[in-house]
Amino acid sequence: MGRYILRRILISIPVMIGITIVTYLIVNLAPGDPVSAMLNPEAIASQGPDWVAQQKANLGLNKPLPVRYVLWLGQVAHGNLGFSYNDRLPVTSKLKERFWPTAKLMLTVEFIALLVAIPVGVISAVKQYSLIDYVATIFGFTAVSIPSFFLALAAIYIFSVKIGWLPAAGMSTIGQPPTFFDSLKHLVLPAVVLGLSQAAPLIRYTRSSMLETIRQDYMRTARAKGLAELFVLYRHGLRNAMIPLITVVALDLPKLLGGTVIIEAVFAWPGMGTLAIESVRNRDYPVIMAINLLAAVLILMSNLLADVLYALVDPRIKYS
Amino acid sequence: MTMRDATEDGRSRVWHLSHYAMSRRGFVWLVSAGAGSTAMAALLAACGGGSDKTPTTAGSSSTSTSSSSGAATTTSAATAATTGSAGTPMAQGSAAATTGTSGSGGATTAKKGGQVHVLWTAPPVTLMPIFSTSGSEQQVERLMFGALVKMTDKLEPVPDMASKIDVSPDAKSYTFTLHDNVKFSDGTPLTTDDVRFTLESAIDSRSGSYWNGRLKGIDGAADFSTQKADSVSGIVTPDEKTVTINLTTGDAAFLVNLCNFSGLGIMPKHILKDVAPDQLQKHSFALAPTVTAGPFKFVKYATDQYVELARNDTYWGDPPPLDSIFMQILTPDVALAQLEKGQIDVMTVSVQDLDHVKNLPNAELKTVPSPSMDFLAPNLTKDYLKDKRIRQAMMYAIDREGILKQIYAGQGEITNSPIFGPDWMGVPEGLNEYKFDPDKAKQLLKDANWDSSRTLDMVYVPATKERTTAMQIIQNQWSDVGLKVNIDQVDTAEGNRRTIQNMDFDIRPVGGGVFRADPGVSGTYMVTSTWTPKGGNYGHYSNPDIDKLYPEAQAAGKPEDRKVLYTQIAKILNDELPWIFLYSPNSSYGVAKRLQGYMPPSYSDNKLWNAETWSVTE
Repeated sequence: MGRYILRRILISIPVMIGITIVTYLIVNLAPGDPVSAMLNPEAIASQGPDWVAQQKANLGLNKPLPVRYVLWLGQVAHGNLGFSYNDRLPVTSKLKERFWPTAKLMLTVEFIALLVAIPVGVISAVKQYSLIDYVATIFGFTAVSIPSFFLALAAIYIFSVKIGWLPAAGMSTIGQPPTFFDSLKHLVLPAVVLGLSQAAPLIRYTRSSMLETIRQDYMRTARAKGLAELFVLYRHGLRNAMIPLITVVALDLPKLLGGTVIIEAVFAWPGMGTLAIESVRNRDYPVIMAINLLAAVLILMSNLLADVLYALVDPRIKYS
Repeated sequence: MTMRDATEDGRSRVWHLSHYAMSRRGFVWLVSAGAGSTAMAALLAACGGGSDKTPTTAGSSSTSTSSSSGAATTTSAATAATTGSAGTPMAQGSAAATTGTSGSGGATTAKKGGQVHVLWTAPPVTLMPIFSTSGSEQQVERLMFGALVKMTDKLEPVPDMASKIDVSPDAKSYTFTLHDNVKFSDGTPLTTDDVRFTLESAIDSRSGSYWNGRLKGIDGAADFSTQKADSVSGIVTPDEKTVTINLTTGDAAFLVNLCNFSGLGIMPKHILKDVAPDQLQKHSFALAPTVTAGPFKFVKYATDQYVELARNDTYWGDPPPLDSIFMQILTPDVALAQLEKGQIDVMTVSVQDLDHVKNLPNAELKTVPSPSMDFLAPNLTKDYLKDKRIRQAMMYAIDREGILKQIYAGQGEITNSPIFGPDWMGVPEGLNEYKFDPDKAKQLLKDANWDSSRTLDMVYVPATKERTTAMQIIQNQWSDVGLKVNIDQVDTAEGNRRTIQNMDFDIRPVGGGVFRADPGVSGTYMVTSTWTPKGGNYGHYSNPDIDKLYPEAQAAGKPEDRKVLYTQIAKILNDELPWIFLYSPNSSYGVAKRLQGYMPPSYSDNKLWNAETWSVTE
């Protein structure tokens, strides 16, 4: 197993380099450049060709593309992700600042999603075509069909404006010393809104995977052995049904990194999604590349994680 | 005018007046500062028959009477001003003393303390005054750093940390005298050395500040910018409190330029002097300016969430009533919910939310004219757009009144030239109003042999919802008269590349500018030397008469003379239509009723212009 993981990590190095070449090329081919993004129509009287040339020189944009790529790769190899073109801050510190808020929100979201999806999915599979099953199905389709920003705004309107239980935005109450309870209160709305819309497809996956498993012969054998029904369902049923679910969740993890731009914007949550959009708008190449790099690492890692988890869940799967 | 707004606000503290007016000796702002008091009264030195305006004055002096009878004080102060400044600017002392003494005390009912939350549009890129290109950052910087001049709600430049500003009659030399006791928040005195440092850092081309272009009119700026000189010869600092800025040519709009949107903050030399110019923008001070001399100081920037400001105890003037101000970054929808809950006190309101805010019990809607304009810039390097009849047809074919009424809820005014303010200028008379007339448009197109099979390419960077809808209506109305146009939606970077850098477009919709602040502002969009990318002349319009008239009008000192020249300019532009002029939409604000002293600025990124006098009732 250890050797297998090591080999996978080594293979991912050339894959990573390939990814950076392609993304670097695409990012640079996007029309417009960082300096044209800086041009401000209201200040343009002062941003003549000299200013543009000076900015390009300051940012090192006057070098040819391949040279810039190699320089960038060299930097990255030394652990330096460069400086943002936009505000000249080190990219590492920009990422660090936003990673924790995103991770905090996303892990909570994933936790809520699984907490809802697995029991509901199992129950609606076991009690197929029952009332619970129909309710879960209707909930699932509704949550998938309603855009999350609408859910978010509706939740703010109800819980924050009308009832006034929860704060509408931010990570903590501004102008007060931070407390655990306060930050928990701020986490509830975004986490529940996102968690429920994450849960909806997971319920469907759990249900169909579970439906397939409970019809297997080994389930009947287990019951014939006289095992308790719950034990049969969870030990023999769910464990086998988990394999497709692991794949889905593992693929969800990297998506959570940047896939919540809208929720972040609505709830004024200072995370990675906002940074990603901002940097694309500004053609902030170093930040875009850093986020891409991070996303690539996460995808490779979560794929690896999924493979390892398969082996843990299903002893028949062995890697050598 | 300032007076009227103040009384409407129910406040007896009106604290200044500014004015464009010109005497034969030059125009002078007099600002009195009593010892340690900031009862400022900017008075008008009226000589000759210059002005038709009533000078108002400020000051908590009006507290001696009731708030409704401010006029009485106005008269006495105005008398003082007239006597005081009949001669030279030196004579201001007497005027200063008069208002200064009665001005202390400020017995308004303003409660001390409290927090105010202001909606901010986007996270700050930098908080260093010479690098900020957006008004939303500059307004915060002015409040933290303090500036020589700041812009009022009426877009007039008034002294901020300067106690007076003397302008030479030819508008070539501007002398600023700093207030006593101007100190940075670490206790270091702010001197004219800091002013020189700020201006020179901005002018130095290595720093990459866009103020380089804005300040290039200063004598010796070009040599300093390219490191041919050790200092800018046009900046003269005879002592710690006096700085004179000499310009190469007269520029009556220099102060408007210097307080671009809000005001250029003065940076601490003792903190930044050892930083290389090309490293300034990267310095950690840029997002944590902890040493400043304005009424409020920087406390904290919580990434992407808010900037916290607190009262600066070393501020030279009256201590601001508020404890702190939070600039919060939220989406408009959430901000609206927060306004309703009393968690946001000031926000810009878009047209679609006007009715909602109007009906809130705890907030008020305040609407004022804006200095900006929406217009379409045709690319005049294209042969098929060179005939002015085509552009006139474009004007006649748009029902601007209808768009303003339907899309902008009637909030705005139609413009027929880029000149429509300030008050001394007004809207020039005798312009063609281009009333909606599709038949006339068709006729003009026919006369100009317009090829109706041609499709024009409109490069549009989506901004407000209203503007996007307006562009679609214009597309329809143009097609009704046989002008086909395709709307190409792009983002800012690509839009700038195609229009500003490559001239690869037919029509570019633009909204913005501070046209109403000074008629000279439009010059940077209309003369040949400002063709993009050197300036804002998007369509590369060129007319020798216009090139000659703008500098002439800018150097002419007296408003009356300037008005004549600008009217002439407006008539030419109104006929030749380098742009398709649309309208100037109003600025609207939702303001919590608990907030006292807020005066809605016409430029929406100038909300904080008088935040040092704000207070809250609860």
